[in-house]
Amino acid sequence: MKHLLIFLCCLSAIQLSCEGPLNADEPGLLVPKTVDQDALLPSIRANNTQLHSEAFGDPTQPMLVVLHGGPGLDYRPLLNCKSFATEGYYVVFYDQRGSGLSRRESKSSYTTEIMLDDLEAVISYYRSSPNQKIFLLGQSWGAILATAYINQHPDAINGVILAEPGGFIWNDIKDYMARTRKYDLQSETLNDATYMDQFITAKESEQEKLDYKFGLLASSEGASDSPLGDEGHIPFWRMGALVNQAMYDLGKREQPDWTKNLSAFKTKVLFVYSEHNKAYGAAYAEHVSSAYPNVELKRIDEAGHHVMTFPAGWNNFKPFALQYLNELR
Amino acid sequence: MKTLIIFCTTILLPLTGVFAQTLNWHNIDGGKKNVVSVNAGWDYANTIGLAYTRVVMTKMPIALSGQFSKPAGNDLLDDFKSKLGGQIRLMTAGNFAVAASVYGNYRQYQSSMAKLQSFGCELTAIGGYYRAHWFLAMEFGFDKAIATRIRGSDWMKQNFPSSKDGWYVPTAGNFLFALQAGGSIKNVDLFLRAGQVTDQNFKSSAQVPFMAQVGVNVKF
Repeated sequence: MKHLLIFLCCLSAIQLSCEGPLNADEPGLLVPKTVDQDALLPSIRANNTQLHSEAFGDPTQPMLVVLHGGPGLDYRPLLNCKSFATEGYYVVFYDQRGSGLSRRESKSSYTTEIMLDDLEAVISYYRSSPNQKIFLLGQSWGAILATAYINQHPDAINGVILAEPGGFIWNDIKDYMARTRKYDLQSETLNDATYMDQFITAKESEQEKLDYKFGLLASSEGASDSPLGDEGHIPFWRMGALVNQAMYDLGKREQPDWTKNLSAFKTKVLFVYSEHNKAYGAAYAEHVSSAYPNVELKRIDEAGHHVMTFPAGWNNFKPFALQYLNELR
Repeated sequence: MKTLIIFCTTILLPLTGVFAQTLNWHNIDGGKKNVVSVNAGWDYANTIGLAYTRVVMTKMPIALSGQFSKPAGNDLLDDFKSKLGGQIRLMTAGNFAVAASVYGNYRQYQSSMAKLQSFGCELTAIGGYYRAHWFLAMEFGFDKAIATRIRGSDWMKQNFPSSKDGWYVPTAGNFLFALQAGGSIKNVDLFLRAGQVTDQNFKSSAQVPFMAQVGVNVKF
């Protein structure tokens, strides 16, 4: 037994010495480089940060700003929305501050206010005229961010599509998150999510490691026993662990309520929820969407939480979305 | 530094003995040299474990052990932890005893995203009050994942094609502060361990930042 161990250790040492051990903090090894590390990535400078961002379509057409989930995810799972560009919309994507391939910042710099200022800066960056209509399309956390923006600027937006926001007040969000993490104690999915803690730990400054670990967690969300009901794993570039942690801590501390001023937003809102997300459902969708005075509620069949990512959900979602946008353009 | 880590992985693993095996040090010199232990609880996941310990009576008793544990789940051996090491009773004062342990570990984690295989080292200090029929002790340990081989799954490689598989050093460190309590009847010990897990930065911690374990030792 002892000899076997010595053999195995020598073998691993030989391999280590041949290839050279890798540093998990080196950019580009475990997770892709961010825009400040790779000049070839499309980016914009806005609100004193550098954001991974692209826009498609005619810049003079009504703008549709796509807001991804997380916090900390990126816009890769929402790229189907590019097709709105061929329907006469100027489609703008960006990875939010500290998310996806956007530049990483310190944990203390992430606040809801700065995320809202970023959104305003992105709109200003791409806006071709003061009369250009602006629509928001938010998925999950992106739908919460869109709502927080409308709550702050009820006259700034011409329409909004919201897909399964966890809630607009902290208690709703907290309860919803708890429902999305209901796994059997004996399940593979639970140990896939928690067992990794003994393999990877990181300081706040070691964002490559943090983001890689956060990405591994995505395996539990795409598992077949996940309440979210997605068809599989969602594609992503890079998770932003620190911004996710920061926003969650802020939520716990500040108990936000982003509904106080929504009554001033009289425009119809398209609010969608998925058929397969067991943590959501019609009753919860009605409850959350009731914060808006004028809502069109739609169930997206054959879809899980990420309604715009997989083909069936997307094909069922797009006609509703397009009809809504065309009514308001 | 890297050379030192490689040296430790290569040399320390085979030499270190025991285990953070929970023992009643009062009864260690009772003539039974073999201890088989079964345990279950939360150790970064819902786990079950099996351990074997051989007691070597010297001036300072040494317990050499090996342990294997695995979490629950559908896939039988995709995740597991194995340890080899030694525990030594450093001193006694009346019914008080202080012990230390050093052990090497090899563990594996696999999900649909990646496979991680890691060599590491655990150092623990244990101090407590030991009577013939019960004991109560505190332990403070540090668990370092010294070198971890990370291999992305096919899905992960599709998602991020230029990701680099290989040995990463070091990747993790976690402290454990725990309490041990147990009762002993004849050749059987029943024990309970529970404690707090925090990472080496004392800032962030595991998703489930505690461990708890119940187990039984049978001596023969």
